[in-house]
Amino acid sequence: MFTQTPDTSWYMIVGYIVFITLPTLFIVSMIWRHRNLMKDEEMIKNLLEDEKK
Amino acid sequence: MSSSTPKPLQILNIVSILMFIISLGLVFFYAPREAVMGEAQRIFYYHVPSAWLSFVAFGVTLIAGIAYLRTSDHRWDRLGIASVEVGIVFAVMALLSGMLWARPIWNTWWTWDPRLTTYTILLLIYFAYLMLRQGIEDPDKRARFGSVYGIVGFISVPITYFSIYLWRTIHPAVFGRNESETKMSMEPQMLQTFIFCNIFFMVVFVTLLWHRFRLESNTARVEELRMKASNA
Repeated sequence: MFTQTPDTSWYMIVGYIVFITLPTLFIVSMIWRHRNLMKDEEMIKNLLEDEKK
Repeated sequence: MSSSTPKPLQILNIVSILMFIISLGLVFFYAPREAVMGEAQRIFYYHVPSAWLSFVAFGVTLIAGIAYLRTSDHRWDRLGIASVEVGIVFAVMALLSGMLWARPIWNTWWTWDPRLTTYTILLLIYFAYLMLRQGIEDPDKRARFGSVYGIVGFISVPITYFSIYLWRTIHPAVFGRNESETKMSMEPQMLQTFIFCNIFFMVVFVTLLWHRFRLESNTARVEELRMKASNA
């Protein structure tokens, strides 16, 4: 008996949104953490310089 | 991430983006629509590589843990935590996409199937790894704890992988000892797309791991500076 292929497009679309969103969020979080680290590094270096003076 | 990004990593970034575009093209325009499951079957091309690469990631943590305990070199510890984070990203992707595939195919978002249950436990084990690590201030203690936890936690990986062979399950087996065990047959275009997506995910895994490792190295450097400043 011939059965019609079900329309499951919505699940596929949401699936690929998940596949794109999660790594993107991870990359954004790495960039954000990196920027914060650089700010901290700068601040600590300034503190150490001030102490030397 | 920064101007000092090594050349091979820059190349990996570009290759990852190119492969991502090609993989989407293959998934949506080259691979034919599966007759029984419809479009939702296309989830499989990204779902399977995310799942097995999460196993690889936790395997890297295991190796890094053993190497740290043998050498006390903190670079191994950095690799261990970097790999856990990347592994968690892949594991969450696999779990969520699996639920999205299961809804139209099994008519439920979730079932306490052995593979799903063991995979969820595995994910929780590695979430706990991240949380518990954060509670330890001393870098040496933290690294030792991370190494031992990474080694012990890896036991959950073979249990999860073999769960579909050990217990009665409705989860399809992609890799089996014979064709009847895999319960899957693929058109050549589907198989080519599947192979390409697996290679693409391997490249993405290495790229993300490398970036995360560099971030961890920077964190260690800043932490050292902070100690120096507090002692001064």
